[in-house]
This record gives sequence, structure tokens and C-alpha cells, in this order.
Amino acid sequence: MTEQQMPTVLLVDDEDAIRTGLAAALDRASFEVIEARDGVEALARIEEQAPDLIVLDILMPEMDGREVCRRLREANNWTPVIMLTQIDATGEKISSLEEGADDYLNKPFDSYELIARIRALLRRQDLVERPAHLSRTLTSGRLRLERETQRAWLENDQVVLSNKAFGVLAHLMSRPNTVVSREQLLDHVWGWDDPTGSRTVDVRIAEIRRKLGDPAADPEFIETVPGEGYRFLGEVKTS
Amino acid sequence: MKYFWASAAVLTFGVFSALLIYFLLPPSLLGFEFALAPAVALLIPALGIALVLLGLGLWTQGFRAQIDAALADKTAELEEQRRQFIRRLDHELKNPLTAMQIQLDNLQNAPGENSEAVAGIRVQVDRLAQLTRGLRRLADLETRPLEMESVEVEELLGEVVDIVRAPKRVQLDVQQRPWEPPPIRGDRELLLLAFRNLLENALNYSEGLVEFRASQASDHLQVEVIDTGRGIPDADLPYVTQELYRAANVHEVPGSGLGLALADGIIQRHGGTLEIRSRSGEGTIATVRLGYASG
Repeated sequence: MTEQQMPTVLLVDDEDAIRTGLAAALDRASFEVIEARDGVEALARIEEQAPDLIVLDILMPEMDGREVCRRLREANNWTPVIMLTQIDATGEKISSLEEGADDYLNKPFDSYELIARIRALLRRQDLVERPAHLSRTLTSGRLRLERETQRAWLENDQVVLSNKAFGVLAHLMSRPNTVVSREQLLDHVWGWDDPTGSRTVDVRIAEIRRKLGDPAADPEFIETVPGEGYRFLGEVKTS
Repeated sequence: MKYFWASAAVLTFGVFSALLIYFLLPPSLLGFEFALAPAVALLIPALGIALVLLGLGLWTQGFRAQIDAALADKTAELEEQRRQFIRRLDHELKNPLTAMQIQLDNLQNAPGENSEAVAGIRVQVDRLAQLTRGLRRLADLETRPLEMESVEVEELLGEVVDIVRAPKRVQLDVQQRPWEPPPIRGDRELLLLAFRNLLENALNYSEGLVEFRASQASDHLQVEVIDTGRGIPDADLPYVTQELYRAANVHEVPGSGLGLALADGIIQRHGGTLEIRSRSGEGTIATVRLGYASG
């Protein structure tokens, strides 16, 4: 993607009404749009046109969205992928992320939500390496997170975290030394569907701190940035 | 059990045959003579009859257990069918709804004479989208594993107030004396959703202050949501926690008919109870009872 060119988005959905509607919306938002009706066609378009981002429906004939994503990642292709899911929130989300999707949206959604997410993902520059938020293991000092099994370890001791606390910690660790607001955490870890408040985030942060033995006053891992949000401290290695 | 039947049948047959032979056949035909004391002679048929009665009793008991098991199977099957129906309905509604939402965005970006009509359709499509979300949650709720943890009452209820539509109309009162309420054990996010739905309901169907009160009973926490709104007609009261049920006096207020069903489902999964008392024109009290963490 060069600065002069409009970013190219590949839209993959077997439902014509959704694809054409979204194509018009993305076009208006100054994206170059390519379309595909199923997974096989999607892989062909990716090969030919190397889009900057892929919007991928999960349930499709021929080859579903998860399989497309798996094949891309196996081929070391790290083009950002947004999955359109339609089953349930939590289970589906975790498995899309396991397959290497960068983000997900639950149907029904409106085009503004999708455009906001596309823009957020396109700000990421490195497309040659596996990005931190897709890495399987995140390690910082004596703390290690295994995303696929959703397990956390402190040295050799397993730390049992709730699903959401794990999500918060993984999100913060994927963006070390960056302030992440409560709203961003709510958006990424809880999704748009569940109206929860920012105290829910604080409760999960408190859980992480308690279980990691990381005091808020003198943190080793998570620092509170007053009025802004939270920041993960220290180097994070990915693999 | 089968062996019991076989041996009982053989024994009963033996006892009756012996009696028949003894009473009906003359000793000369048998070639030998045997004598029994009258008490023993009475005891033997009594034993036979007792065995037959015992057998019959066991047989009907087994039969009843079979009927109960069949009924339970059928109920579970119907329940699963209902769940599957909701999932399919939700699933089939999603694609057309997504397409409609996207096309509405497109229309709203090209303002013309019909912009008011488009905005009107948008409101309705959003309601449908909300309904599908509610249906999916309901279907999920019955099967998803709960993430149980110790939940601080005041913090939970405080957050509920933060996220409702009109927090200023809520008067939160958590009993703090002589001691703070012990934590409850539950899935924090589901409980948040249940209390939020109860509180939103009270806010929707009343105008004044809504009391949100938590008090401590010996073995459970009691949370009440009290409004002085229009109340629920007596005829509707037994049904308000059913899915998609809406009372006769609220049809002009938009709502999905899923809020109370969800709250009730969540509380039941926590082993608690939801009781709703109401007087038409006076108000409604929703009472939730939930066990403490140690229980």
C-alpha cells in the first residue's frame, strides 16, 4: 500500500446483497474493492491482486472463511483479516482468532463498524512478520501466555484466569508499552454486543493483578495510566 | 431383576402345584401319603400370594419408572428442538438483517426526499437486530458453561446502575450494616446482564425514581427493583418471564419481550429465584434471591 494508492479490500461473502451493499459503502469510504463469492475464489483473488485487507465471511460454500485464513497464515501471508461471524459471540470469536483472524464482527453489523475496524487494522504497517496479536505465545520475563490453550504461566506455575481476564492480558501484552483505554479493551475483548461498563474492565485488571501478584502501586506487568487506561510494561517476546 | 422374576415364578408354580396335588389327588393315586399341620398348610398359599403381590408391585413400579424416563426424554428432546429452532431462526435472520442495515447506511449517505422514511426503517431494523441478539443470548444461556467466581455485590450493582439508560433515576441502596454483604458466587457478566435487564424494565415502564435495594438474609442475598410505574395486569403476571411475552398494557413501549426471560434464565442457572409482584397502576417489585459464595 503506497500513500497515493487507495487501500484495496477484498470482500468475501456468498450473500450477494451483503457483498454489493458493503462494496458500495467501502467504495464511498475511499477503498478499492475486490469481491469474491467463496473461499476458493478468495484465494485466487489474493494470489492475483494482493489486497491490503480481507473481510471474510465464515460460513460459505466450497471453502469456509476459517480454512481460507488457515491457508493464508500457513503460507506466511499476514494480510489483516476481519472475520464476519454469525454464530455466537464468545466461542466463535475465540476460534476465529485461533485461525489467525485479526478481528471479528458479529452479524448483524452496520457498515460504519466495519469501516472503523478496517481503518484501525490498516494503520498497522508490518505485513511481513507474524504480528504480536496473532502470535501463539507471548513472553515477558517470568510471565508466559499460550493463546491457543488460553493458559498463563508464571515461571513454572500455571495461573488460572477467567476467559475475559486472559483476553485483557493478551490484548495488553500484544501492545507492550502502549496505553490501551478501557473502551478499547471493552471493544476488543467483550465485543460490541454486550453492553458492559468500564468497571468490568477494572474488575478483570484486578483479577489479573491478584493472580499474578502484581501490585497496582508498584507494578511489574500492568500499570494504570490515570484518566487514560492501562499499559503493559516491559519487553514482550513473541513466538 | 430378571433372576428374581424367574425364581419367583418357579417358586410360586411349585407352591401352587404342591397344594393342588395335596388337596385334589387322593393319596392312593400318589402311592404315598403326607400330612401337614393346618398352620403350615395355610402358610404355604399365603407365601405364594405374597410372592405374587410383591412381583406385581415391583412390575408396576418398574413400569412407572419407564414412563417417567420416557417423559423426561421427550421433554429434553422438545427442549432441544426449541433451542435449535431459536438458533436457526436467529441464524436465518442475520444475513438479511445485515444486508438491510448496510443498504440503509448506503441510503442514508445519499440523502434525498425519503430520508425520513429511511430513518424510520432504520429504527425498526435496529429493533429486529436487537431481537436476534436477544434470541441468540437466550439460546446460548441454556448451554454455555458459567464462569463462576466470587462477585462483590456493591461493585456489581454499582456497575449495573452505570450502564442503564437513566442512572439518575436509580436510587441504589446496598445494606452495609452491621456488616458488608458477603460476596455471591456467580458468572459476573451474566449477573450484570440480568440485573441490568430488570432495572431497564423498571425504568422503561415507570417515570419516577426506581429503588434498587440489596439486603442480607441469613443464607442468601436479596435484591429488589422497585418502581411506581404502571404495573403489570394480574392476567399477565404469570407469563411475563416467558420468551417474547409482553403484557397487554405496554404495547406502545418498544421492547423485545426477552429482557425478563433472560434475567429469569440467568438467575435460575445460578440456583436463585426471581419473584415479580405487581399492582396495576401502583408499581412493581422484582425480587431476586441468590445464595452467598460459601453456599
